[in-house]
Amino acid sequence: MANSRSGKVLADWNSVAESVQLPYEPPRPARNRAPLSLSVAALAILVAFLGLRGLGSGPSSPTATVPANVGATSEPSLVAAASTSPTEAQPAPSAHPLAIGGGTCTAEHVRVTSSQPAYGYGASGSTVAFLTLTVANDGPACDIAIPDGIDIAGADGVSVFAPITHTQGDAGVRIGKGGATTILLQATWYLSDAVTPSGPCERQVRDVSKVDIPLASGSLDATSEIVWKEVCVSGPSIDFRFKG
Amino acid sequence: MGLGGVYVYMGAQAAIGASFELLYERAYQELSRDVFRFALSWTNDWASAEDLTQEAFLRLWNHRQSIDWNRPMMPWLATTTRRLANNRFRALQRRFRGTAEEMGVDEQFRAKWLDVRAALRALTPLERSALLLTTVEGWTYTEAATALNTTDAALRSAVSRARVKLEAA
Repeated sequence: MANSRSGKVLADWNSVAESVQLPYEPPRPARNRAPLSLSVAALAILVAFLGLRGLGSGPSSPTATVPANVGATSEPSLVAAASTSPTEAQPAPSAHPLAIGGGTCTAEHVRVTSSQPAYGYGASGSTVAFLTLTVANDGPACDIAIPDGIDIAGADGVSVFAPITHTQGDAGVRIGKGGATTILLQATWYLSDAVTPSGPCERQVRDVSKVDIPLASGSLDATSEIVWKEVCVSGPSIDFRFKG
Repeated sequence: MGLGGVYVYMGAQAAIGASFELLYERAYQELSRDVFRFALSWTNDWASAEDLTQEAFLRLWNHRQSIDWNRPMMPWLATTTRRLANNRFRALQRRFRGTAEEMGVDEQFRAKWLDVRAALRALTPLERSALLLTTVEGWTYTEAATALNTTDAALRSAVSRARVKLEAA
């Protein structure tokens, strides 16, 4: 096989494929606060039930201690509480393999004309970085909508979908012909031993220097001279807003 | 005793959850490279293959409680990967990311990969996957046909066409 051209191609393919470096840990969806609330709800049901029946007055059989009506309502909660990933109701990550934009602006007419990085003030143990993008439109008036996420690339150059938050401002802007708007991205990362508001991140991208904001067609590409050390992509950790 | 019974029940549920996690982790450790190679054979795109590998395992995680862990996982992962790839390319049709550089490949292999990718570009995804899976990966014709959602006869034909195309290029 190796003497033929096809054999050489296949052998080369095999040797290159062998070189792949995959993450050691398997991917997992983001955790949220649901397990705690479900656990509390299950505990509340249990306490209420025991309070009505009296402690220790029931039979010894585990199945007999929980009447059918209580079991029917509490079982999903107990299962969810025991589950390490109660995010079944969330859309599968693959529903957004890469960010998909909305609005009507396209990359044919809209582009980034300036990209300004800056550091901000964060809570103790955190670092905040901003990226201010000036976006100009040389085509007909169009709208840019807040996407559900953006694409970011770290040191390996591979684009990864990063969900975003939108804490201030409009959900979309209209850019007239010859006009411009400003997009402000804010990334926050924490020192390795700092306590984070949302707990440990399950999947993150390191040394992010490139962002890609989706439009209705095409995208806005920008780089940041301030490298974002760690961006958590298993949950929203980048804030996106329009300014001006 | 009643309270203890409930604790046993909750503990059992936690144990079941933990066992799914172990099964998932083991599947990833054992099969992630195989899934990547399958994705690479189908897409002929390194970055896409890496992304699809992660997405396929995320799908497995989401289905961990309903899947039959007693059966081999690779066919399920391969089929999922192929479907994700097809959906992905439809969504990306309006966003061309073509570039002369192939991101993600180790520097020392990049030139070789570009040559390999160019040679294999002449093949359809079915031909490319059929040839690579049966010749390089060691899959049987039946295994490859199942993962690629085709028949044994069609798969053998695809392998034959792929060889002819590669030799003629």
